[in-house]
Amino acid sequence: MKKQRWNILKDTIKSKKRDFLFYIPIVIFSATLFSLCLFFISGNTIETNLANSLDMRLSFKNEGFYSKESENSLFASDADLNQNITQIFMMDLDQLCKDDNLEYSNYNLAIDTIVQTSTTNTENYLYGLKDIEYFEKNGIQLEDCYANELVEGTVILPIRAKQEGIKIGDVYTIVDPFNQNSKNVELQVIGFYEDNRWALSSEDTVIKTSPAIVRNSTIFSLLEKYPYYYGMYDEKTGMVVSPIEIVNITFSAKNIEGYSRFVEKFNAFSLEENRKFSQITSEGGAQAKLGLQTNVSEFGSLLKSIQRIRYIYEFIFLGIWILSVVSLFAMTSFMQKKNAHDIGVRKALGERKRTTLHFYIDMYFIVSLVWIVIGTGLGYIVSSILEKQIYGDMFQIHAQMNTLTGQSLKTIQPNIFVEPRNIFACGIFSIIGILLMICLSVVFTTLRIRKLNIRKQMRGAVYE
Amino acid sequence: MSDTILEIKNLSYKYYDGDHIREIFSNTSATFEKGKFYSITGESGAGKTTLLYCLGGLDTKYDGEILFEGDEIQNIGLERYRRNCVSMVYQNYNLIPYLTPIQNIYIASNITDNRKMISEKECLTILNALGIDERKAKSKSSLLSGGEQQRVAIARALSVNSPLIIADEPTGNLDHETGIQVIHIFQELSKAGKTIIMVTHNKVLADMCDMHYWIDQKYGKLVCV
Repeated sequence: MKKQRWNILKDTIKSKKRDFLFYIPIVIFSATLFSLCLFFISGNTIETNLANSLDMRLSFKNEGFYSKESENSLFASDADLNQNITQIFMMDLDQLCKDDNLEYSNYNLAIDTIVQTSTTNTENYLYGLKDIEYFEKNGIQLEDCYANELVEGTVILPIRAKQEGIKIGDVYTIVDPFNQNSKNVELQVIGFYEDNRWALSSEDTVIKTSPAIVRNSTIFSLLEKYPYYYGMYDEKTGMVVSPIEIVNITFSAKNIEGYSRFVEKFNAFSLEENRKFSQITSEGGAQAKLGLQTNVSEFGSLLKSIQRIRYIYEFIFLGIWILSVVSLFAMTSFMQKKNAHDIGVRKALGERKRTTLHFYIDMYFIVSLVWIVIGTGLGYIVSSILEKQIYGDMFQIHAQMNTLTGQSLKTIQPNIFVEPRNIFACGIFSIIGILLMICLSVVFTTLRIRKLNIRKQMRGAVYE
Repeated sequence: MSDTILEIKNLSYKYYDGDHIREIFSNTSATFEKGKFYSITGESGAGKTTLLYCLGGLDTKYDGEILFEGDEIQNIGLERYRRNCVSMVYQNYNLIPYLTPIQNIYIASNITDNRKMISEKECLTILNALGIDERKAKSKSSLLSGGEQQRVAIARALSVNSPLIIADEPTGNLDHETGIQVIHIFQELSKAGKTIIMVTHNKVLADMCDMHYWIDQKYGKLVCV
């Protein structure tokens, strides 16, 4: 007669199908939660993604952009130093921290230097925005730099270039210190993008990168993997423009700890080491020293920001969890009231409480399971849509650079930092999701329950 | 050994009607013997249904005692009492409408400790005996006529195999002929040793029973007619 029991369960579910539609809030719950989880957990860690969403990146404003001879000679004299600094940006901070022989830890300076020097060839230098002063001082003729003839004749510049007085239609000469064959190719500015960067593939094609382009980590990856790093010289203004502006250096959460140890180590440096460092930087000018002081002191507060975000995020999830528990409870109560008559009949027949409960738990379990499976599927679709909305479509800088193409869910390299394209969309999606949860799961259910006269239902069941 | 199956001792029942306390029964007593068919009549609001619910273990807000085979039903345990000692037949059947008669009977028989779980064939046998054919036995209860539903309700009560059947106006929704049929069923059941207590408005049907109690609303007593 087990078959009979199953048939009764089946027929009961069938007869209550209209009531079970109220299980839709569970679908919304599971879907939204699943989407949110996918969204925030995907890519990197929760904190970094949220930090990105809120535009609260760990950042170091690169106030000084110098190409000092002393630094270059420093690199020339210490081959490992360059590697060490690269490691900072290549997400190998943990390893870096283990290096007891590490002597150089001027973060700000490191940023400058890494941009201004090739990681593969210390004889070639790449110059930044203010390097024109250095050129003038040292009598370097910009024509000595190289251009790549294969680059297309148009370019999209970051908005910062606009702030530098560059206008659409301006013509620049490509300066490629790594490619002797590229020379005197003129590029015309066709637009400015606030969030976009452009990069060059090995085919030497200007690519408009995805809004979700990994920012500075990518830049350093590019530096390591490709010797094609371009500066542009504006003949009218006499400026060399770096197409990749180094404004923010971003770390993923994984490396925050590593970097914090790195900072600790730096702080623990002996006076002798600091003195040595001062000697180096004193040749490079006072601003370098200033940069050092500023950045190191800022880092601690930035770590606190990330910590705060983590707490906020944990609270959000806790809130969602509580909400879901309350709603499920409300839903179960609601269904219980809807089944008051049947329960009454069963009780009038003398059925044991646990048997009644068992029957209805079985019923809710089956129905919930079905809806949650549907909800999970829906959540997957929603998260896919969200992914595209927030991270943009997939793109590939270079065929061999698979690690750089990963975005959100498909991130391969943990140091790749994804940035939501549309923070507004992200916010709206989150708000709608939360509103839906509240409205459908709690308010709607509660209203339905309030409409029911529970006593009447029970009296009706037992005494009618 | 006494043949009394159910005994009411000094039963009083009152409830609040707004600010007033209304007393339905006042120290009333009665006995019900095994294998007899009892009818209870009374004016509307006299407390017929209330009495049945008290006897059926569905209402406990009374003073006095209701003894089943000498034991207070609350001592037996109301759930257990309902499960094994008494079966109720309601005026509006109280079947689970979206289930088939077989399933309704299955639920009841599955609940009781009186017998092993009933098979589908046994369900059909009981239903057939009450004039419900196999086709109807396998259709939804809500699709059956009132008389048929009442017979299913009786079949459900029978399936439990309890010695006492309490029927609350089982013929109330039925035409006269079907009502008579139901009474005949009860008569046969009482002959088979079951005690039937039936509330009815119909004097003719009440007279067909072995004993007839009347509720005297004025004094709140059960009077044997």
